[in-house]
Amino acid sequence: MSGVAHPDAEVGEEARPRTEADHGWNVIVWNDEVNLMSYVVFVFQRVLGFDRPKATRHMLEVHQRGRSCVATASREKAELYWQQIQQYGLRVTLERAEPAA
Amino acid sequence: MIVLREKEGVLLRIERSLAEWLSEVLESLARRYGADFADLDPKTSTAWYWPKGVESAGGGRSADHEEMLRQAVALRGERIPLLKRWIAALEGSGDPATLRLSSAEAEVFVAGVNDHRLALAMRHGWMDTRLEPDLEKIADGTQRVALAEIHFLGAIVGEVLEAM
Repeated sequence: MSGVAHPDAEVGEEARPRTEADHGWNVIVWNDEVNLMSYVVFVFQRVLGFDRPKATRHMLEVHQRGRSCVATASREKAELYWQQIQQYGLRVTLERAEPAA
Repeated sequence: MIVLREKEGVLLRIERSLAEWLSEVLESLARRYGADFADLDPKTSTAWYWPKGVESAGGGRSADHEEMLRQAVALRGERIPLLKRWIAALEGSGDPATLRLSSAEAEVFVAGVNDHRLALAMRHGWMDTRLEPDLEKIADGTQRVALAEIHFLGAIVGEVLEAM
């Protein structure tokens, strides 16, 4: 996660308890040059339930840093976010969350 | 073209010639949404189902990767009935043509129109380079038309979002 701040929010409820080694999954949205800024803000509001300032903050992080972690959640919930975000045409990946330092 | 906010959605009023062009865009989308993944043009499949994203969602397991991809393709396919209804509405109205979208439909509309933009941009290698705002700087005619489409459809997306 070089150059990218850790998520400022953990979205969603856990579907199953985490083990010591299971810190959840990060949902990462990546930059591209085609999706409009207003469209990305709309997708974050619609899928993740962000209010406009928070959606805008994450959109700008994507734009300026190349990626933003928009949620950390259980595997099941993270897959749901992935599926919904990719349906809107944004580049999105899942990666295992690291334990907090 | 005018996009108006309505009580429970948005209304698009579109000049006849633009409506015919938008119908063709929606028909093209419906065809591709209905196609098997293997039959999609590789540029389109890369734009809509970003390989790095699909691979990550599968957690490195091939079976999961294929299942996530299958679900993603099926979900886009669910948009086809709405696309067909919009095509019929555009073709069946006068000049200007009108297209009335509920709030839920407007979300599908912008996602679909945006998909067309993404596929065009991928075809011309523009996903990761700043889109040229000045069409006159594009010498190749095919590329100039594609860029004009991307910008115009982007304007439609922006206006519908604004009206939602």
